[in-house]
Amino acid sequence: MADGGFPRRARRVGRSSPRPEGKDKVTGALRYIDDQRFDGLYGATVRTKQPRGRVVGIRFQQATGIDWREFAVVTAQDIPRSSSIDGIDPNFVALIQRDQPYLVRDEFRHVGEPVALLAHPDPEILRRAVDLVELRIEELPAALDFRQEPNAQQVQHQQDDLPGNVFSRIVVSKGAADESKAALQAIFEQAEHVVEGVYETPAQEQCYIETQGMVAHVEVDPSEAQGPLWPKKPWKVVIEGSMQCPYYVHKAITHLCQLPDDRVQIIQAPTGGGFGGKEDYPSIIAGHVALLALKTRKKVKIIYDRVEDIATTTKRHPSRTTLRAALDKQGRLLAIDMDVTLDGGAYVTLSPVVLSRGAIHAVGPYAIDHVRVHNRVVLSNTPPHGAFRGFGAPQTIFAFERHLDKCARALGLDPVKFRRLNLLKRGQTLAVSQKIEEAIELEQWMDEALDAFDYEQRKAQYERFNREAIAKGSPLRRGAGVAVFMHGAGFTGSGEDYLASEVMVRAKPKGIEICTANTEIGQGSITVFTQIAADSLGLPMETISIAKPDTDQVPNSGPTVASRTSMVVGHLVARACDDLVRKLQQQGALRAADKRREAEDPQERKISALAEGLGREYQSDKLLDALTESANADAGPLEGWAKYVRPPGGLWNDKTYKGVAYGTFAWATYAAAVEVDLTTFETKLLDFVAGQEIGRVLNPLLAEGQIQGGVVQAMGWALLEDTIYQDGHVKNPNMTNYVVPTFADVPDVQVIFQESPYAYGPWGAKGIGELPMDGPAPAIANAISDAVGVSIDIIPATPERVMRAVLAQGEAL
Amino acid sequence: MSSIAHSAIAVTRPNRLTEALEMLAARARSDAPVRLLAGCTDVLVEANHGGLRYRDFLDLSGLRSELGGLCWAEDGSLHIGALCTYSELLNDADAQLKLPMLCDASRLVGATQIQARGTFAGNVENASPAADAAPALMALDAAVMLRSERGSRTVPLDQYYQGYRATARRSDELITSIIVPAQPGPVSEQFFRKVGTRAYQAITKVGLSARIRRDGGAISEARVVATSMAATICRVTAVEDALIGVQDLCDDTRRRIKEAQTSALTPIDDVRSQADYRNEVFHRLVMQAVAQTQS
Repeated sequence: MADGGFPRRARRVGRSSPRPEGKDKVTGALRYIDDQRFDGLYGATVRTKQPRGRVVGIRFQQATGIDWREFAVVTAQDIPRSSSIDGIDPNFVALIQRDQPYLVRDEFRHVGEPVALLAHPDPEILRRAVDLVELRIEELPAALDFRQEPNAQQVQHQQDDLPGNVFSRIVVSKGAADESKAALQAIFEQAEHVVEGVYETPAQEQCYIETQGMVAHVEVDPSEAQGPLWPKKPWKVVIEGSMQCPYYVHKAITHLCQLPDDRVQIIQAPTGGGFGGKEDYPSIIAGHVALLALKTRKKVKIIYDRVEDIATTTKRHPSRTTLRAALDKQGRLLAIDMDVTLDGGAYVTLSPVVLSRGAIHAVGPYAIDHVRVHNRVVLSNTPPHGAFRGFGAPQTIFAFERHLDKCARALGLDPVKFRRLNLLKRGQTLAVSQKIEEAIELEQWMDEALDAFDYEQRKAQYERFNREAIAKGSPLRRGAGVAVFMHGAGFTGSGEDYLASEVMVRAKPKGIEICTANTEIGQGSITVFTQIAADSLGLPMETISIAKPDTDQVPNSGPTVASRTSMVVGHLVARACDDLVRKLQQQGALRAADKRREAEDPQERKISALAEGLGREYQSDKLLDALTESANADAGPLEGWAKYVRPPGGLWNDKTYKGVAYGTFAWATYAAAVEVDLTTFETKLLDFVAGQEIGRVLNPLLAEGQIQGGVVQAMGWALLEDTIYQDGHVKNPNMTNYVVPTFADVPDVQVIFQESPYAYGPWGAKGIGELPMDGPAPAIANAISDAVGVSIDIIPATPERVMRAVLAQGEAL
Repeated sequence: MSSIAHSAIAVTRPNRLTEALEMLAARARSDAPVRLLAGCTDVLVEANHGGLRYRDFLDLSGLRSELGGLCWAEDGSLHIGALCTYSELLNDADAQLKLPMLCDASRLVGATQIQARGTFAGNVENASPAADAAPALMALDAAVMLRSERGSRTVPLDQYYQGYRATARRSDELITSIIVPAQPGPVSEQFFRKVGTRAYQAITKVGLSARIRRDGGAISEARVVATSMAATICRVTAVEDALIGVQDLCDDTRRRIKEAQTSALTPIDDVRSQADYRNEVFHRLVMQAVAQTQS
């Protein structure tokens, strides 16, 4: 292990280290929750079939082979309202607002809302039984289209001074818009050009490969093994399942069960994808299995099949945006006036936060003096919309980047030239008045991506192609489109302060164990944390292990969301490693004599001052010996801790919606080339280039995969994926009719990284998880519009939509 | 013969055709519904969606020696056994040369795994209005060979469908093979285009299987088969008639052909597409077929 030379640069960071858990995933050895040995009862959910109403009765119909005495049944009546310590009905999912029940008490707001839970030893009998539970319903008037103002009977949510059914409202303003609407209007009146547009995006299903599922059991005093539902003596509930955020589930279950923190244990099982779909919804399934486990005093498992999962769990918020841009003669953007409406679905869930991220990203990386972005999220009687990769930003960025192409067209400018005129420069401010101090070179980065795409030549070539196609009667048309955008990593504003995330690393024989609540959901957090710790300590990957995310074992390092895991939590991992080394030093387990001798070299000393990681200064074998000794000590192993500290810089003001929204942003230029067939109006994606500045690439292979995967997911949203609601029902809750792209639809996605290190990310890294979801849809819609000469402002740009847009312009065959 | 029962599902697996026909006859006499299993690719999807309408299954996989494979007869016709899979056809060099449209259709069924299990007879009998192989077979004038204890008969495929998911097969009958007659004209007469939602693993939103023959430039014979345009796949004889004699596609001709289509087909709006799209694109496909088979 004595490797002598002090590393000139990070050893693991920046390399495509393989996934430690990769082999188990590829060979199938890894056990997802439904693969694990199970000897309990199966649970299922009885749901409403109407968009809004009141449950007035439940009847269990008789049928051959169904003996209702064999079933455990839980309804809202099993959850006493009065048991709550804080006066809030325990039946409400603890999230931003407590409006969504685990089980319908009386009124319900969407199709598929849980009313009763059943448990039985035989899953086949259980499946039949669910259909035999008859709900007697009094229907109420539903609000089915979020784009329409509700009438008095449709209002179900009234909050503060907001209009009926509005969950949340945010106004971003800058320049004249700060003064008054009239002042902003004056700029529009004096402008050379005003360009208007309306844009819509659909609900998108996360389509994680593993559907949602949870297992729970309860530990009660033996004297209460039979007793009433709620034990009198202290009891504990243990829940394991597929999830992104163990501490979100923990918070929800402590409220539902009215238990102290240490009586609720939440464990993340290996999770097959999340994309935001396992951010908030797992709390509901966890609540359901907990209630059934309590009722039966047995282990209970609920696994959703694909139909139930698509039909009832959260999706990306549908959106409608109207936009007005004021431009001068040269094509400079003078002012933006934007109205964004998101469809929140039936309950608040995370909608206000989704709205916020959409609002902040709406106007993108452009220098515009006068901006007004009015944002609201409203109720509709569909299953709630929730977290999904991008979290509101893809919706507003789609509208804005589409609108920029419309502006360019109105001015007769090339879309790239037009963007170039308006791109943000260092020292200028975003719409939320955040001054960008970091060394951004947006024009140069954009050009690098466009060079890889061969933008100029390609445009000329496509123009020729289309001219010839028209001349010879060929139905094929080609087009190119770009989108320039940014994505802020981590929680917005003071969000990370409230989270106050903590990471702990613990000495182990011949290594360390990293304890965080952040979850591996396919994105590669195990690999990246391991790389970061290995380099912080100057140790090989094999010496680093990652503790299972279990709320009894790991500190709350915040949720696995918001592109924060590598940047925010990864940074804490590095700092916790330093803390551990410092404690080893203090204990005398590491001495000056244990340092690497080569660090005496002045050149090396200079590098070591820049490099992160106190442990790197020590010889590996000495450090490992010290860790082993500590692990075996009577007092228990030493622990290194790190807690989030806000980077220096300005603050965020939630009232004015101004200030430092994010510590840093990743900046990107995406370019798409398409071919549209005017026989069938189908779009084929020919080429795609994704260029982005992300601080520092921690693992090139994983980063490239993250970007390519995001591009494909966004391409599905742009071209194919459409959740079809009819009277509040999802009409296509299966993989046959909810169409996601396959490899045959995807071109080579070329990924380009620029690196301008961020001082407060590990080795300079910024977050990239959500970024690739933002750019593809506008780039693709811009390319289609370029190809067919008609604006495509609603996605998915299905052949049906493209046909109607083209025919409306009077195109003949 | 072997039987297995699972959760009130009975599966019987005969090893000889006569045995299978005997069982079918017995069930027909007692009016007991039975579902035939070949590749199982449709049945498994039904089961997964909780909609198994049958509890009694007759598994034909034991009859491979009698109903499997495909063979070319001396008259140039192709006999596709009831258990012949898409993969088997795609591996046949002559099929690639002589029946490119049937190969194109086979290649677009689901993906490789489905093509390795799914059968032509199953596709025909499943009677989906969005079928992939059946419309190509219909445009090639294929016929269905049916057998029962009472004897055999042949039904032309274009007379096989009697309504949504309803076929001419009687309950005691089994498809033994599908016969594709020798194609007198060149392969350039054949046109197949499936419009799905994505490149593979797609269900047809609208599709055209056509065969267009010319005699000195003018169209002398046409088969126009529509997919996902009606309750069954169907020949659109009104369009076929309108195509006869057509030499070039002037605006008048296009209008006439479109009118013929509109009079014959009234597709619906559903979760996969809408009527306006189906009508417009089907028309454009016909135009494309005419143009492509021109040279």
